[in-house]
This record gives sequence, structure tokens and C-alpha cells, in this order.
Amino acid sequence: MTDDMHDETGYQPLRPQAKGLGEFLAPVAGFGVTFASMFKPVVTEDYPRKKVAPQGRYHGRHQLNRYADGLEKCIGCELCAWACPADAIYVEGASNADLPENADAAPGTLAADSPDGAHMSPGERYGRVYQINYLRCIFCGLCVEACPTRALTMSNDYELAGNSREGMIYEKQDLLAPLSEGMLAAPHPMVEGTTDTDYYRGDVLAATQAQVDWVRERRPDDETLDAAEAVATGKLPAPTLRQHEMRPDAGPGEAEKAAGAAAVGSVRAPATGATTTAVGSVRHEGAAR
Amino acid sequence: MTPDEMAGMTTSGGEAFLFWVLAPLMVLAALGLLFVRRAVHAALCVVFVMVSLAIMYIASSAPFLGVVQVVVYTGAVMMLFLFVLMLVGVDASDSLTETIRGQRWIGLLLGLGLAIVLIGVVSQATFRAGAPPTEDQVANPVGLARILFGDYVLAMETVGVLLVTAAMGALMLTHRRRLEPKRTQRYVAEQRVKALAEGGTLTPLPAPGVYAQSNAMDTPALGPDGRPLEHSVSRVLRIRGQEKAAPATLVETSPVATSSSVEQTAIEPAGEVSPVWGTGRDGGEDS
Amino acid sequence: MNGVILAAAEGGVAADFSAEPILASVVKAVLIVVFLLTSVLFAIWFERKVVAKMQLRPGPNWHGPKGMLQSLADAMKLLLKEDVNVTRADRVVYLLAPMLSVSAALLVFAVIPFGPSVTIPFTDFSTPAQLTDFPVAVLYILAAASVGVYGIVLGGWSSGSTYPLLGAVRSTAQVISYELAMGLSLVSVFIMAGSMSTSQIVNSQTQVWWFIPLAPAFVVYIISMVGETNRLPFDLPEAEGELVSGYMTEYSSMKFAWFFLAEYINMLNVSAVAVTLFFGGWRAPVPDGFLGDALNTGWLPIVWFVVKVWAVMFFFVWVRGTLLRLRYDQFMVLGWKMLIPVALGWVVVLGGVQWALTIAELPRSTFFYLAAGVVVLVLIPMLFWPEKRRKAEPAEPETIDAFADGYPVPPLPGQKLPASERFGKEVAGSDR
Repeated sequence: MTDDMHDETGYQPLRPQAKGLGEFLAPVAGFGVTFASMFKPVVTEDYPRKKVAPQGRYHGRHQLNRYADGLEKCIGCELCAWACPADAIYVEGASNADLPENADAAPGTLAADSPDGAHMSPGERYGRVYQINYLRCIFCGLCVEACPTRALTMSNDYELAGNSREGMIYEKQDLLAPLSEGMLAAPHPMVEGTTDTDYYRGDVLAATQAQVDWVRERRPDDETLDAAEAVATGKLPAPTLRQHEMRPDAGPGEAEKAAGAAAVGSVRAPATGATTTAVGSVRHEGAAR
Repeated sequence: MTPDEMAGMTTSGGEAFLFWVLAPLMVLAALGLLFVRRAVHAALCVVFVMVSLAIMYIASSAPFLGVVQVVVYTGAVMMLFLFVLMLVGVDASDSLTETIRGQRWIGLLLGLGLAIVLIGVVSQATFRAGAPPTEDQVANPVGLARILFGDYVLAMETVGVLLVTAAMGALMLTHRRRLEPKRTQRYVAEQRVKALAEGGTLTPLPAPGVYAQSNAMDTPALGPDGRPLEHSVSRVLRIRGQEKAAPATLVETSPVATSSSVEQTAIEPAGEVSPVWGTGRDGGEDS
Repeated sequence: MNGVILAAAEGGVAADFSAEPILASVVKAVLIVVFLLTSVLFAIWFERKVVAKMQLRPGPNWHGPKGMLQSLADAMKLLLKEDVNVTRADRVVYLLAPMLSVSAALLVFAVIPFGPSVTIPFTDFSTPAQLTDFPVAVLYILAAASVGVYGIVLGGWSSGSTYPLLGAVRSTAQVISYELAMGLSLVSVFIMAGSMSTSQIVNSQTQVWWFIPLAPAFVVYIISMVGETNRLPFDLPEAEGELVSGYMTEYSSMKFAWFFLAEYINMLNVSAVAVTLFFGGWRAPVPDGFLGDALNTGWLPIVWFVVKVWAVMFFFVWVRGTLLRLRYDQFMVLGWKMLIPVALGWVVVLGGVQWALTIAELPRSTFFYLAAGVVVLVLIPMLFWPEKRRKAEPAEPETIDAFADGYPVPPLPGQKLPASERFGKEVAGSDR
């Protein structure tokens, strides 16, 4: 930019122009910028070695939350699937009364809204199949807005990569929030004398002794029993909700990565073997979509 | 040739070895120039002969000559040849039809004449015993410089002037006068802004369509309304009639394309370009 | 071959190769190749790391300490990659081109002096730290560079594809044009040193390194060496946005690695030439006679040489991190209309100076007054030169009457050609 050009076009530079030596060196000033940059701290993150949590509002992978006594919040209403613009969510609801644990109850003895009998979620229905296809999901969060029970939220986990298309369809057990210390694994009855509204209002703070007894009677080997009983008897504080956590800082080795992931328990179980057979029929239906 | 002269001609072991390795290869390459079919391969044969010759010069205590041989002939002259050959085309093999009547016979005759002259010269030549260079002898380039810029300075300068004149003449003959004022970037930009009022576009035109079935310059892109954007295909292709139809399945949503025929879907929506682009005159394309 | 060449070449050469056994030459040649290959591995890491630092990122940091084994990993990757052969390629030439590139690049270091005469430890065998030298060594470097161009040209042509051909044509035009400017800038060193032998040129820099008195030639050399090696901002032959990757587009695996190797060896080559000709070669950066010349004898000078070469290499990377790629026509204008005239003019000025000082033998004081007078005479008109008026924008030209006198005529200057017949023609079938 020479001066005569300024005059002709009326252009006024916004930044103060260098004078004297600075003006003389202006054409090569860029060299100074790059040289000085060499001694500045880097602005990047050391990602796989050191993981930095994104902002709290970050839209990461989904999570299906639980109530404090271990029951699921999801009621299988499919509103999230309807809201999804990318058609990434597949939900099948079912009645709690139809749970296999309730098969021994005489027909007609369990009312649909009765708090007794086995429940996966408070109230009448629960989400039997819940799948999110992360090859389709655009992380818009409309499903979270649609959820009437605040069952579906989004976590900060952004490590969503896989090496197979099937593996990118996350099943319900992948999405469910891990059981916190003191929660009782479902299915079990609701807290006696409550309705789903009490759960929704947050009046249920922990599992009760009756629930623990119910489970002990039917599943004496359940791992969550002792802690839940301790909470129910007041020896331990009420459980707090646990989030899916990001995998730990990984070193370069594959073994370290695997060990670190297993320690936190947030890594997905491989879509083969035991987990698949457990929900075998369900999985088949969902994958055929 | 006296025995004394013969003694002067013998070479050291290293030089003789070099000669007997390089000379047959050079002869092969020279024959290759005559017999290979592709012009570029012939040029490569020449390059090989030139570089080998340079190595021989260096081995014969003429490093300056050898190096200049590579820099000037291999690096500049042959490179120009190669340039022309390359740009003629990869597959252009030489046409074997004779354009000059009887050129084969004329060529043979001339070759024979050259051979006679060369044999005559070589057989008549006498070899002086080359004295091995001594310590006090001036270095090769310095000696050359003394001869060129001392004894023959006038001839050197004359040749130099001649070459410069030739270069200037070539420049003059190939120079073209500019018939229009130069279109600067600023000028082009201003013209584009002026054309905006008459339906021109400031932005680049949309790129042609890329679909699963076709990935081509000749398929129009689809606008947000699902109709093909005619002007996304190059104007030349359109005028030649080489524009392809947008895939029928994608055009179905268009209210204009009611016909199921692929041919018609291609043409009908092309007439009604989405209003964003106005008349579809190529304001941006050819400026 | 060494012995053969040097028998006649003692005159202008400072290093003494008269007692050199063949074995010593072979060992030196192998050492040079090892030095070049390891330097290339280091250079790739160095470049990536420095550019990264300039862009506020860490650069390679995964393989080895500070990522230093990154280039080794890359080399392994290239070796193991599938070797794709193009169907339309001219097989022999396609294979020959990368080999030609590398071998021409390896030639240059034969005449680069790493240091003065060194004594092998535990023996009393003494030999110059240089493979060979002869009176036209620097011209030999230019010759090797011009053979290296063949690798690029043939690689681009034999690929049988458009972008490589365009890249090869660009690259050749670029290397040839910038070699002219480079050669002219070297001429001024020849004039001052009185020799074209590298060891003699290093010996001529005991008082002052040539980049100070020959600053204009030095600047021309520095610019043209970047152009010569096809590096940013002159990397037009492989401009990614325009030509995919130029002449090496169709090359993969090991053949690509050879081109890559040649490019980096060429960088080292021009850096070493710059050091030898302008930065005092292996001479220590201290005044002559400092510490009784202890810094300039023995093995230490090799360290100075390597340090200086890497300083120039850093400059290469610095330029890459700072400047943008030029447009091709601007680049050619810079070469032909700036560098070559400046280098030519400087050679003429230098010739005059040398004539005045050595042949006419003017006293120093007279010469300096004369030089000052010439400078003032040049500067005065420049100060009072009227400022160039900006030309008005071209007026809308008048449209030509193509049949002005009843027959077709070409347009006069300033006349506008009528629109082509095809322009604005409606597409067949369009209802507009």
C-alpha cells in the first residue's frame, strides 16, 4: 500500500502504520511472527495421552438414567424416537407386568399400576429395546428435550468410534447409566406405597429394606444387594447418580488402553458373546432395521 | 606413427577401464537413437551418450569441457528437445510416412558422405604425445580463459553479440501486440459487481452434481428444492448438448418433472431454474 | 576415477588429493551417503517439528523421544505400501526417473569440503575431509543439478497422466530459470575467490565470509536456491490445490520415497553449497588467528560445517512456515525480471571493481572515492525521479466493426472483440 493509493481511494488503514525501521522491515515482518511463535506455548491438547473434558453443555453420547433405588427412568414412550430428525433411535416399550419375573404371579393379581411385582421402571411400562445408531445420530439433543421423564440425557463422552457398523448401534445396556454404589439392580418392586409420580418428583431417595428383601429372596447372588441394604438401613448415604465417564488417559499401548477402559467400566462390551445372547432376540430385531 | 607417439597414446589403467566400460554402452545408446520407436527414448539415448562423453572428457584431463558439456548440452539443449517431445503427446509415435520424396536415399547419401569425411579425417590425424600435466601448469579453466578472453577476445565478443541479436530477433518475431487493455483483477471484480444489477452472480456458480450413480461434470446439481440447476454444468457442455439428466429418482419431487421419462426430466426442469440464480446467464463463469 | 580426474587438476585446488588411496575414497563415499541418508531422516523430523512450533502445535511427538523416530516410521510405511504401477505409464522410464533423481542428488556432496585435512585417530594417515575436488567443482554441482531435472521431467512424462505432466513442465521451467540466476550469483564468488574449486573458495574466506561483501549475489542465491529445490513459497510444481502433487502424483511406495529422498537431499545440497560459497565453509565463526587457529584444524571444523548447514536448513523451514505460495506468472517474473538482471548487473559491477583493484591497481583511497561518486550519481536521479502516476482504469473499449471496409479486419488496439457466436446461445430444448 503506497501513500498515493490511499489518497486516491480514500482508504484509511485501521491499524497504526509502522514508521522508520518498522516500515522498512514491514515486508518481512512475517518472519518475526513465525520466529516468535516458536517460543510460545502450544495451543493444542495432548489428546490421547491426556484427555480434556469438553464444556458441560457438550453433546456427547447418550445416557439412560436411573432413579436412586436402581429403577430405570425410561418408560418406553418412544417420544425420543419420534423427535429424532436423523431417525437414529429405535425404542420398543413393554409392560412391567409382562416381565418374566412376574410370570409366577397369578394372572389378574398384579394391577398395571401396582407398585408390587418386578419393575424395570416405575409405573406401567418400561423400555424393553433401546437402540441408538451412532452412525446416524447428529447429536442435536432433540431427543433429550422430548423425554418426559428425564431418562435420556447426553454425557460428555466424545470417543465414539468403532470398526463395524453393527458396533455403532448402541444397545440399552450400553446406554444405561452404571449403577452407583447403593443402588439396587432392577428388576425389583417400586418403593412400597409410591406411584411413578413420586419417583418423578424425586421423593424416592434410596432403595428400601422391602425391595432389598424382595431381591434377596429371588436373586440371592446379586452383587448390589449388600450396598443397597447398607443404604436402606442408613449405614451409607443415599446414592448419587453416576455418569458415563470418559475413558482414562491412554498411553501408546493397546494393552494400557484396554486396562484403563476396563477399570472405569464405561467401555462398551463387545457386541458378541454373552451380552448379545442375553438380549439375542431383541438385538436381532433392532439390527434388521 | 612412430613408436614414440604410440607410447604417448597409451592410457593409464583406470582410464582404459573407464573407456572400455563406457564406449560399448555409448555405441549401444547411439544405435538406440536410430532404432527405438519412441521419440523420448531416442532423446534419452542421446542424453546417455552426452553424459558418457562428458565423463570421458573429464577422464582425459578436460574437466571444464566435460562439465560444460553436461550443463549446456544435456541440461539445456536436450531438455528443450525433451520438452517439445513431451508436449507433443504421450502416445504420439513417429509417423513413418515419408513427407519428402526420396528422403531415405538422400539421407543415406549424406550419411555416406559424412562417414567418408570422418574416416578421412581420423585416418589422417596424427597424435602428439600428451605430456602429463605438471605442477606449475595453470589450471584447466584458467588456461581456457586466457585463450578465449586473451587471444580470441574479438571472436568471442562477436559471437556473443550475434547470439544476443538472434535472441532479440526471436523475441521480436514472436512478440504479439496486445489488442485489448489488460484485464486486471480489480477491473474484473468491478465488472462483476456491475453485472449484478442485470442478474449476474458474485459468487462462483454451483458445482455440477455428484451422485452415487454419476460423478461427472455433465450432470447438473440439484438445488434445495430438488430441481436440477442448469447452470451448474459448464456452458460449453450445455451448448454442445452433452449435458446429462439428473438421476430420475432425485428429480421426482420436482413439480415440473411430472413425466416419468428420464429424457424429459432432463430437459423440462432445465428451463425453469430456481429463482435464486435469476436468468442463469453466466455472469461468473466467463469473466 | 578420483585419481584420473585429479592428475591434471592440481592447479586451482587447495586440498591435496595426491596421496589418496582408492580405499580412502571408497570409505569417504560411503560415509557421505550415510551422512546424507541420516540427515534426510533428521531433516524430515526437524522440518515438521519446527513448522509445528511456528504454528503453535507440538508436531510429531509419538514415536521415540520427542517424536524423533517419526521419519523412520514414515520410511517403513512407504516401504510396506502397495507399489502401484500405472497402466498407461512408460514402464522403463517410469522406473528410471526416481532413480535418476536420487543419484543426481547424491552426486553433489562429492565436492563439498566438510573440513580441512584430518588425521585418522591412532594412525598418521592424513586426508582432506572431502571426497574429491577439481578446478571446476562448482560447475560440476550445477551439472549434477541439471541432470537431476531429468528425473522430474521423465517422471512427469512417463506417468502418462495430465497433472504429472503439467507438474513436470512447471518444475523444469522453474529449475532451469532459477539455475540461471543461481549460476550468475555464483559467478561473483568465482570472481572474488579466483577459483571454482570448493576447497579453494573456502580457503579464500579467511578474512571475511563472502556473504557480506557479495550481499546482492548472496540474496539472489538464497532466493534461487529455494526455487531450485521446489520448496515453499516456490513449490508450484507440486501445488496441492492445483496439481494434486505434481510430477510425483502417480508414484507410490518406494518409488515415491525416492523422489522424496531426492527432494530433501537437494535441500541439503543447496544448503551445503551456500555454506561453502558464502558462509566460509568449515571455518569457525571467529576472527582469523583466534586461539592460534585451533578451531580451524582437526575434526572440529566438521562440526562448524554441519551446524552451518543446519542453520541454512532452518532458514528453509522458516521460509516455509512464513510465506505463501506465489502465482506461477509472478514467480517467473521474479526470476527473469528481477533475479537475473540483478545478478547480471552485480557481476558487471564486481568485474569493474576487480579490474580497478587488481589490474588497474588503483590505490584504495582513490577507488573508494570513485565508488562513492558512482553511488551518489546513481542515487541523485533516483531521489528526484518523478513519481509514477497511476494509470486510469482502462476505458470501455469501442466495439470493433469486423467488416469495416467490406472485408474482415482484425481489431485495432483498444477495440473490443464482439461476443462469440456461442456466447449466450440458448441450450437446445430450453423453453427460454
